[in-house]
Formats: sequence, C-alpha cells, structure tokens
Amino acid sequence: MSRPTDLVQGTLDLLILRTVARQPVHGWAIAKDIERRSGDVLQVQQGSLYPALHRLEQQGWLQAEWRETDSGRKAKFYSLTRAGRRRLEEELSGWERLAAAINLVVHAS
Amino acid sequence: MEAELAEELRFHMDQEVEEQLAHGVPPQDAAARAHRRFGSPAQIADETRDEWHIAAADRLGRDLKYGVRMLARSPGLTLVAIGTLGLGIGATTALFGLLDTVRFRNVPAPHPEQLYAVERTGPGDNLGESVSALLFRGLESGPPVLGDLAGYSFRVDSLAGESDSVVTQLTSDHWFDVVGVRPVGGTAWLPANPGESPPLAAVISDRLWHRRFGASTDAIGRTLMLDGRSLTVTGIMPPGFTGISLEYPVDIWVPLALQPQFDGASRLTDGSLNWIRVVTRLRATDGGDAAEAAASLLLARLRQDGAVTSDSAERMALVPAAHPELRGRDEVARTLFLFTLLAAAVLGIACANVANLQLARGVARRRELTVRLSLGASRARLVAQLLTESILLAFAGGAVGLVLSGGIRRLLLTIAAPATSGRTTGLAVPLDAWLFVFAAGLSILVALAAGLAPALGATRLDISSRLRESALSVTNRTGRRALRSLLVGQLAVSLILLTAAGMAGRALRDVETLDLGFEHRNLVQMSVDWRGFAPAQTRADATAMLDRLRNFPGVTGASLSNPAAFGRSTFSTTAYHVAPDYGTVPHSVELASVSANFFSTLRIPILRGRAFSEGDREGAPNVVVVNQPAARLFFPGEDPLGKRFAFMGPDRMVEIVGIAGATRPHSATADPPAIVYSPIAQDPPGLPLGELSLEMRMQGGVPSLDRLVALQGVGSGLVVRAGRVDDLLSQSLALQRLSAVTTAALGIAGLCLAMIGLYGLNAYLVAKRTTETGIRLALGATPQGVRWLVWRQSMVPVVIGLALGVTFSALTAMVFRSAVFGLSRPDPAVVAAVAIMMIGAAALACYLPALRASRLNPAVALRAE
Repeated sequence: MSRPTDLVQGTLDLLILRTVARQPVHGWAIAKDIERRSGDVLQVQQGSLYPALHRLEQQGWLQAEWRETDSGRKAKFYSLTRAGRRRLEEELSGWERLAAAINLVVHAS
Repeated sequence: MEAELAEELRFHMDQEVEEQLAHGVPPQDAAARAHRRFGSPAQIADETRDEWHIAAADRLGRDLKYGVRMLARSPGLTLVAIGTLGLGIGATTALFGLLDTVRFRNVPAPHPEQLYAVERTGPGDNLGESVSALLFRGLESGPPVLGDLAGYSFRVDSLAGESDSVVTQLTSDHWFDVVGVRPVGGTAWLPANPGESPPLAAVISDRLWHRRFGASTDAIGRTLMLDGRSLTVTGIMPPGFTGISLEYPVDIWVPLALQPQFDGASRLTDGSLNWIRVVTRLRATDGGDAAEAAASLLLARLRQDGAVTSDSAERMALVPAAHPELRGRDEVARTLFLFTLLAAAVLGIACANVANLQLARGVARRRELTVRLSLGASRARLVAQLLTESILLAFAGGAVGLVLSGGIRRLLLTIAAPATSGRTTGLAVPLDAWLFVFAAGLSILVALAAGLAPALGATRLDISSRLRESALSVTNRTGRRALRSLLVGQLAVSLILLTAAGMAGRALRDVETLDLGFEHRNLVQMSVDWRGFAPAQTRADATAMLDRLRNFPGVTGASLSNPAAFGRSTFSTTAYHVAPDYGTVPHSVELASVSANFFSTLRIPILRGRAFSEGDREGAPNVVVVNQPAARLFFPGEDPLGKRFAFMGPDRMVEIVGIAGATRPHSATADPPAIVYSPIAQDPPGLPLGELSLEMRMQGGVPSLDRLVALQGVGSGLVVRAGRVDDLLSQSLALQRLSAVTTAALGIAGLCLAMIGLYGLNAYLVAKRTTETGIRLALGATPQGVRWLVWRQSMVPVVIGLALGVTFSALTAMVFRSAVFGLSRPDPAVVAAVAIMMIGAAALACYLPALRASRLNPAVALRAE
C-alpha cells in the first residue's frame, strides 16, 4: 500500500461537507467514503474527523441526529443544513480556483 | 453530551474493528489496528470537547473544583490567607463605608445638588452656619435669585414618656417644600395668618411614630408632651427620614414661630443672636454667585440700618448642603480618606502574602505544571486554573471581610464617640448594596494582584530545562527575586504604617495633656432647664440653687453660667468699639454670662484687673471681663483695662475690668475662642435664659444624679443632666482618638502580616534548600555557620525594606500633618523606635527558619531528593 497522501491543509472541511451533502451519514462512513472515493489515496486520520464534525455542527453547517443503522445500532448521522450547503459551494469554488492556479503553475511550459 | 460523544466514538471503533475482521484480520490484531487508524480516543475526545461552546463554563466548574481541592490540601495556609485577606478587605471596606457616608452620600432629599446652606463668612472668628432671625426674615423676603429659602434650628428636648431626649427641629413653614420631603401620613401644619399665634403642631419621624404610637393610623391628631408643651401630631415623615443632618437625627418638626414658647423669651425679631440655619434650593444651575451677591447685599443693608447687630460677617456664602452642619466634615473626610489608604496598604501587605504563597506553590508545582505543558496543555488554560485558586481565596476573604467590616465600623464609632454622645449615630449606616459591590470589586482586584504574576511565572515555557531540573539546583533566580521584592515592599509599607500609628498616638497624648486654660479635673457641669420661665424668676431660682449646692459635701466651689460653659452651644454676638482710625469696628465674639465666682471655680486665671464681684449688679456700671484672644482682637498692642466698647446692642457701653486667660472650653483642638464674660446680674434684656449650667468644683467623686435631682425642689428648674467635664472634653477628642486607634490597629495588623509573610517565605526557602544545606553540613560547615548564613541572607530584604520605609516615612509625616492635629513635624524618635522594633521582630522571624536549617541531619537531608 502506498503511503497515504497528507491532506492538503484546510481541505478536510470541504471533504466532509461534500460527503455529507450526498446523504445523511455517520462519522465512520464519512471516513470510509473519503478513502474509497479517493482510491485510498486520501487517508483521514479517523479520529481527527470528530473535532472537525463537532466544529462544523457548532457553526451551524451540519446538523446531527441519532438514528439506527442497517445493523440496528444507534449512530449519530450528520446532514447538511442550508447554511452548510452555501458553505460547501464557497469551499468548492475556492478549491477549484486553487487547483486551477496550481495546474497553471505546474503545467506551464 | 459527554455520553453522546463517547458513544459516537465507540460506534466508530466498533465499525472499524468489524471491518478489519471482515478483511480477515485476526481478532487479536483487529482492535489494535483500529486504534492505530483512529488515534488516541481520549485525546480526540478532548479536542472535540474544546469545540463545544459550553466548554468554557464546564472548564470553570472543573477549575473551581480543582481549586477548592488544592486549597483544601493545605488548610492551615489557606485559612491564614483567607483570614489576612478578610482583615484587609474588612478594614478597607469599613473605612470606605464611613468615608462614603461622610463625603459622598448626599442629603436625603430629591435633587440634593440644588440645596445650599446660606452661611455668614468673612475674616474673624465665630462665624458660622447660623444667622439672626432678622437676617433670616430679610433673606426670606429677598429677591427671587436667592431661591426657595427655609430656616431651621435644632433643639434637644425631653419628650414625656421617653427616657432619652429627642432632637426637635424648629422649622419654618416652607422647609418641607424647600427640602422636598413632605409628610407621607397626614400633612405639615398650615402656616398661621399674620397676627395669629402659630399652631401647636408637630410632624414626627417614622421611627417615633412606630415607637410612640405603634405605627397606628390614628396617630394623627393625638398629642405629644414636649418639654411640658402639648403639641398635636399633624403628619408623619417617610420611613428612614430624620432630617438633612447627619449630626442631628430629627424626630419632631415644630413650627419655627413656636420658639418663644420653648425658650421663654422671643428671638423671632432679634437681630443680635445667630441661631437660625438657612437652606435654599437654587433651581438655576449657576445661580450660586448671584444668590451670594444678593444675600451679601442684604446683609450689608440690614447692618447699615442697624437692624442686624450680631454680625461682623463681611458677606454671605452658599455652601453645598451635603450635611452643612457637620462642621469639620472636610477634616473628618480627609482623615477617613487617609485611613482608607492606610487600610488599603494593609490589604496590599495581605495581597503580597498571598502572592508569595501562590509563588511558592507555583514553584512547588513546577514539575506538575511543566509535565502538563509538555503534554500539550495550553498556557492560558493553566493560568486560568491557577487564577481560579486566587479568585477563590479572594472571594472567601471578601466574604469574611464583609462580615468583619460591620464589626470594625461599630468598633471605630464606639472608640470615636463614647456612649454618652449621639454625634456619630448618623454615621452608623448599615451595610448596603454599594458596599457589597465595593467589597466584591476589591476581591477581584486582590485576586488579580495576588494571583496573576505568580500564575504567569509558574507557567513560563521552558520545558526542557525545567524537566531536567531537580531540587538540587538552587531555586530559580527570578522566582526568588520576585518573592524578595514583594517582601521588601511589605516591610517598607508596614514600617510606614507603624510610624503613622506612633505619630498619631503621640499627637493624641499631646492633645490630651494640652493646657486647656482651666482646671478640668474634678469639675462637674450640671445643666438645668429653665425654659418657659420669666428671666427674673429664673435668676432668683438659679441663685438659690447655687447657694444650696455650695453646701453639698465635697463641693468646694460652684458657679453659674449661661450658656453651659462646656458644650457645643454658644452665644455668638458682636462687640463694637470706636477705633481712632477706623471708626466703629465690629467683632464677632462668644458671650458668656457668668456668676461672680465663675473664674475661681473653674480656676481660670485673671491675668490683670479683677474678676466679677457681688457689686456688679443691675444698676451698677456695666462691666465685662474679656479673655486674652478677645483683648488682642479689640485692642491689639494696647492696654485693654478700663477701655469701653458697645456690647449686646449698639448703645450699651461696657467697661473692661479684667483680662482672663485664654481657654479651650469646647474642643481641645480648636484655637481658644475670643470670649467676653458678662456678669449674670447684668444680663441685657432679651438674652434667652434657657438652659443654664452650674459648675461645681468637687473634692472626690461626682455626686450621683439622684442627689442632684434632689435640688429639683429648689425653684422651678429641671435638672437635665450632670457630668464630669473630663468626659465632655473627651468627646471633643473623638476624632483624635479615632486617628490614633485606627492607625495603631492598622499598623499592628500590617506588622503581623508582614512578619507572617517573612517567616513563611523563609521557612519555605529553607525547606527548598534542604539538599544544599545538607551538602554544606556534610562538607563540614558548622551549624552556627549555616544558621548565620541563612539568617544573614534572609535579613537582606528586611534591611532594604526598612531603609526604604524610613525614607518614605518622612513623606508620610507630611501627609499626616494635615490630618492629625498637633502633628507638626516628622518625629525621628518615633521612626527610630518603630525601625528598631521591626528589626527585632524580623530578626526573630528569620531566626526560627535559620535555626531549623542548622539542625538538619546531613544524612537525612541528602537523601531527601
């Protein structure tokens, strides 16, 4: 297994918001989803997810509720609020600008 | 919330373990792997918690719990700290409360800032707050610029059915409107029409209403017997209102026009005696100057007309009415302000003690704190936690202080005013919200002063060196320097405090042994009330009483005087004499109407000429004896004997037949007043003969009041009270006594605190240096050598502190000179005595820890680390 790429500073919020935007989901599933979709390149230190989740919840971008999972166990499911959706768009456009800028620099002949 | 977080994290771990198992990881490894991928759950939980907004409150609760536990771990030290802080905060709060009452609390009336006392002013003595009835009438009907005016005068009367006398206020009809406080039950009396006799009405205080009528609603219309006169109650004032004077809490308000009924002779149209205080309400904010000018003009005109003869005042002044009649209020306020500063200094010493304690604890807990810092605790967190302890200490101290402050205040007032005097009762205001806020604010200041620096010092980041450090290394330099400089400050301040105490004590002794100009020991003054009787009858009765008194066993001399020779009421009047260059010159003087043997009874020396004799009676040429200050005032540089001047009326010429020595009959601290003595047999008509007093020179003890009351049968008078003149005088020294006792108490408290601090610090340092001392002893140092070394080192800050204190005490003396009577210069003897005493106490406080160090067993000491 190749060495996991460190998360670009400040992108964890973006990843979480994007993941949660698809459907209400609990913390472990967020971590797994990020790993799976990035082809195991992005490996979140799973624990570091939780301070971020709670911060986003405090800021009013996420809301949480306790629900039963498929296996019948209670888990805390996060979903996006209206403010969270706006925030996601801001973060996305910010990221795209950054990525484009880096591309320009890297691929310049 | 906490449980939810735990459950959330647990769910995550379980999911992860399940997934590992599903991937075929052996069960014994699955948990460990999950753990590795997750990180430390405790740390994650901690970081998550920090995101919560309620975290702050939660942390405070935990800090408090932790703080209480840390303080409870050393209960002795904690109790000492709380006690010292309590004492400091208590003393400061008590004194501030008094200061607040005297200085800042205003007249209990709406818009008190509009109220002014109208007083006479100008060069010369015996000017004051009262004016004559004529001048008052003139002011009352004066121009509108003078504002709404009212006049009043205090009396102390006996009320039938009350053992203590009550304060009555003769009150002009508009007084209630001017002051703005009206009866809440009933009404004030209706002013009498011109020519009608004034109503025999009384408005009473709420407390008298409760006391006399049980707060019954039918009190209105009932009667009160005041000094034998029956008055009808027409109104009841609001609860807590006892007039606008701190000094005279009024229980009964009666019409000013009733004065003749109380005193026998009318002073209502008189222009020669000053007895009415004037208060005015100026609605314009800047009307003061115009009103002063108008009043002065009026005074000048009335004097020109010859109507007002009692006045040598040049002009009238408007003084803000915040307790205008508390004469010397500024003096009291200044003294109290100084005391508040001194108490704050004691509190500063207490703070330094607590700061030292916290510093020392910080040093002791350095390893704990360093470990926590290196594990990632933020410095702000630790500082907050350490500060919490100081805040706990300070608030506990503040609570103790609040409880103490009431007691301290009562104690101070008791010292200041012996039980016989009601003068300061107005100052005994109860603890209120404002003082509570003051004490709380003080506590917060104390917490910051005592806790912030130690907390910052203890959490300074220097992890690597700190962790390596052991007790073997000498206690770090900056820490020790901080401890020592606090100590130096403490000692300097307490030396200054003690010096102040010594000087105040000396000043008191000087005042107490001051020559008053008469022999005050074994002298008894008896007041007899003759109000309401004809002057001729009164004089005859008084003389008869005097004769009886002379034959009392133990009485070697007795005399009569009007007004009472020792007391606060005086007659002030004006003497005129024709000076060759200046025309007629008025002088304000005190008048004392006395019997022939007054001077011999009081042992006031007659310096030149003669005293009065039985021959100075009605019909004989009018004569007076003047005292030295009066002689100097009238005839500077001339021989006053045989000179004549106008006295008690512009045409009543009197001749000076004798010069008496100067006396201080009212207050030992005031300059001797100019007094003109007139024989009682030659009293001018119209001089009120209300409360005469008899002075008795005693051999042995004071006859009991019962026996004196037996004199009651003689004539018509009523014996009101009798007392030793010494006691009366000691009341006038109340402020001096208060100064001396307060500064002494503060000084001693400061000294004790400083010594406790000194001892505690040295004991702590010695304990910290156990290993070092052990090595010294093991290497052959003698116990004496160690003792000397430790003692010498601990005495260094003592010497520095005391030297600083001595330097500054000269400054203190200068400040104190203005507040304490009789203190003319810094007193080197006192400073030296205090310094020597403190060196002795400090030497002892340093010696005990040094002794302990020298008795260490090196073998044990070296193993201590």
